[in-house]
Amino acid sequence: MSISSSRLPKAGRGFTFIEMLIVVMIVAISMPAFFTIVFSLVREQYLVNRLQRVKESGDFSERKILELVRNRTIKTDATCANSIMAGASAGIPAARKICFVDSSKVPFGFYIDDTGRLASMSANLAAQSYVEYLLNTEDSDFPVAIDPTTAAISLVSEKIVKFVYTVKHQPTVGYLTPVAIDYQYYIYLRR
Amino acid sequence: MPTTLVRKHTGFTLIEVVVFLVVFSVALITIVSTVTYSSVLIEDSKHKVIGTRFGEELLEWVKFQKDLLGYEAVRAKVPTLSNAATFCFNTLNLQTWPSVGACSGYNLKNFYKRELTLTKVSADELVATIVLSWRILDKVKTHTLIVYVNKL
Repeated sequence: MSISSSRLPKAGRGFTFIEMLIVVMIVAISMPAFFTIVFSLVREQYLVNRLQRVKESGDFSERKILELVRNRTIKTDATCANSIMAGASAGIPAARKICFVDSSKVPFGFYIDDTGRLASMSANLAAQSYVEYLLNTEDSDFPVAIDPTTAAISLVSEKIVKFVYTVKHQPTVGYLTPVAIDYQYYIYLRR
Repeated sequence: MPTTLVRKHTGFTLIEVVVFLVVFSVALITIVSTVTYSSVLIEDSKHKVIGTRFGEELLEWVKFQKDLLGYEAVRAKVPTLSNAATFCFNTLNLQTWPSVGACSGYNLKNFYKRELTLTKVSADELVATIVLSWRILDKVKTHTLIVYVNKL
């Protein structure tokens, strides 16, 4: 055989059917495996992203409540007896609501309703509602909900308030797992 | 040259096979390492989010303790003769102060370790250092939060 013979154009010679079949089979087996790994990574990344956003929402509610209650409360109204607050939090069980009076004698408070919304009530807000949601299940951007069965807002003693709740994000698609972060904090009324 | 000399069944040359193997293994190693690296990063940031949350929870509790007990009582948690003391807060519910001592293991949610170190800076100031740590592939990762506890 001359040196140049193997370099001659192999006119008309392609891969056999068996060869092609094997190649297609290998591709068919390896591609799903590869994409499974890639998609599981993407899913994990999305989980972390959701976890961060749940924490962001939860932290926001915690900051807001801590700031308002710790520094501005002069009196507690544990049962929300004040007429405005009683109206705004009607139907909410006592274990999930608490009211205060601030230094300007304006009543305000917080409650967690049955759908898992965390609401801030204040006589300073618009008279139609007196309520603003700190965490809302209807938020179009990133809806989060509090589990109402485990949530509790309690007056531990005259000057100590305890908040316990779990902030949860339930994805709209079923195959994604929900993510949740627990919040529990005590607030000492400084004033 | 007569065309009959052309071999009917030519295989791949050694060079071709070697080049293919090199290219293929480089590609495979790149993909596998990228996947491994990003999954480690993702796992790490997941624990960082949860760990930070646990740390902030304790930080808020320390502030609450200062409001509740007063500065001197929090300072008294550090034994008189020492300059610093470490406490282990590996329980989910923060209620009472544990006795002085570092954590024995990672048993907060069976994964994290939450320690608080109170250090006396001056008569009027303490530094509370909260260290959250967890292990990934035998490597210890930590997240530290610091809050100053003042007499005022």
